[in-house]
Amino acid sequence: MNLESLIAQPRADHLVIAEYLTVIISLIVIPYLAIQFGSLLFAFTLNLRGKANNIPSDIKASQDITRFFNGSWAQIILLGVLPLLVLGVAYAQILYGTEMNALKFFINTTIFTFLGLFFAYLAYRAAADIEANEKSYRIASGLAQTFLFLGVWGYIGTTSLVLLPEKWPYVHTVIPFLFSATVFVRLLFFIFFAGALTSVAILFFSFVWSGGRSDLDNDLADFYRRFFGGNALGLTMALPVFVVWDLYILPRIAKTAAVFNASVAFILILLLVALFLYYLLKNKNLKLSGYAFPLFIVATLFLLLSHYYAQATAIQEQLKFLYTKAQEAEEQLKMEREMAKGEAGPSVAVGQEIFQKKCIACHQFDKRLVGPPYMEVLGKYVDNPDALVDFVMNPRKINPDYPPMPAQGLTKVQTESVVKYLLEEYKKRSQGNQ
Amino acid sequence: MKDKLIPLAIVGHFVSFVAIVLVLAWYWQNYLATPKQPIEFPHYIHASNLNLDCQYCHQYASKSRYATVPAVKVCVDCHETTATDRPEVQKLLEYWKNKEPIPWVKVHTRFREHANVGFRHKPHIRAGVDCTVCHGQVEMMTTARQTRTMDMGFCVQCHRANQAPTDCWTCHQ
Repeated sequence: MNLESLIAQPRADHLVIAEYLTVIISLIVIPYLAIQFGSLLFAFTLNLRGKANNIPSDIKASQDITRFFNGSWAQIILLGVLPLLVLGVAYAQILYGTEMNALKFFINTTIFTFLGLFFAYLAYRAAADIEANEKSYRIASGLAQTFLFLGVWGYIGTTSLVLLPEKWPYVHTVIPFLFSATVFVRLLFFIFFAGALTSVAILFFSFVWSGGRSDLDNDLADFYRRFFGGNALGLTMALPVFVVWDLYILPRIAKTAAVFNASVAFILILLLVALFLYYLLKNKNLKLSGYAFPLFIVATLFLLLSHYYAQATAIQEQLKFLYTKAQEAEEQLKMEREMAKGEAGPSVAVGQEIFQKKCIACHQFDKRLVGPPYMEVLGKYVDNPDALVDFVMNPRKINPDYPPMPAQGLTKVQTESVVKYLLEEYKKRSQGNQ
Repeated sequence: MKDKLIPLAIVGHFVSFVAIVLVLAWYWQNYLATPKQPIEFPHYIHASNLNLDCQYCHQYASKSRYATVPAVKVCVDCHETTATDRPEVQKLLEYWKNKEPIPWVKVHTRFREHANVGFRHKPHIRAGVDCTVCHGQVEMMTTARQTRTMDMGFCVQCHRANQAPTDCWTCHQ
């Protein structure tokens, strides 16, 4: 089935909604996938380390993290799968009429992401008794991470491709682009971002949210403070490197002052997060994660805003083109309705409307503007309106005193209408002059 | 001492990255951003609303190596009588009155001298390549901006897709 045939030309209000959806939905789906991926990765590595070095607290932590963040179907569908599909439809609207099939790319991404979240659910089930189900836990968690990684890779590939209109005509599949430097940097950025966000989220939900978890024993709580506090601080410190790298290789077509401003805001908010994390580690004041996590979410908003600005700048002509097309389609519909009301075929009223919109820019009846005055040139067409219809549809240079008239892109009926109006008006005025 | 040094180091780390971003922004603003033109020429009014063909003004695209910016006379042909109350048109008429060319700023600056690329408009236009392939949707822009990287990959990709020659001498002369 050809997916493109399912996408209709967007109306102006649909376009506005689609543009906002790309920001709002990525604000839901990116943190969600980052926490899913980060928690699976941390739990998996802690499980491996705990088993290899025989550290029970590591294994207990791996079980706790897997059981805490995964395991709800509603969450998987509402925060993971549905938003990605909606994003696919939003991008399909924004890129309407281009050669890039965003919907197809997003459907592939959604399939991988769904598989990732499905295996994350199986890992959650297996982690109920992590010692007994060790093998099935590791297989499920490994597959979950692999598929989530592939899903995120596809997401980053597709959204990065949106920034490069020059590639659209040659992209039949997103796969070759997945190995480009831009996607590689953004993928690394995502992995570090996921680690930092997950660590801050674990601290927040363990120690601050609803007064802190009562089921955490002291050993595990202390381990979480040291392990996730340290990881959060280290990974947060690394994020500005990727911001700079990403800005450096961001296509020139996508660069704008707002992208740099939002990136500066992102780094400055991360500075506050890092200071809170440092004092959390140093003073053992776990309540500070109550500031670090919300601030990290605000920083994420600025990061996604900078990506939004880059996107809006890269495709500004495409968006303006779609808005113009939407306006034209509405006017066309209005005109067709008017014509349907009266007789079928050319109408003077429609001709007058077109004259007011187009012809009047260069022509008047009794005065020379860009083109000659109508009263001087229309006489020869009074008995031969078809010749005028032919001229308006395919203009040629007739009088060397005037610049050539450009084609106006009118349909046959529209041209006949405007010719009917012009000749009637010409006859009226010449009778008045006599 | 250490208690004060570590937070300071954290602040210094982030502030230095803010500084790097600001340097990148400065470089972009001065060397990469769309240049400010002497007249805020609205391509979208001419090429989209009025439906003028690109070659109506850039007359030599199909005839020579350069598409050329139009002579002031081409603009004045219409604007002697049209939209003369608009400030940007008045700027144009001022150049016309003073018999001065408009000092347009070059937008597509990608081809560096050392690349030795002899790009010619004529064969591309005659082969039916649409202007938008290399220049983007100019009919939706105000003053033009560069929307293609114009790097070798960009050229070769299109040459391959259209079975145009890809030997070095075709472009590097």
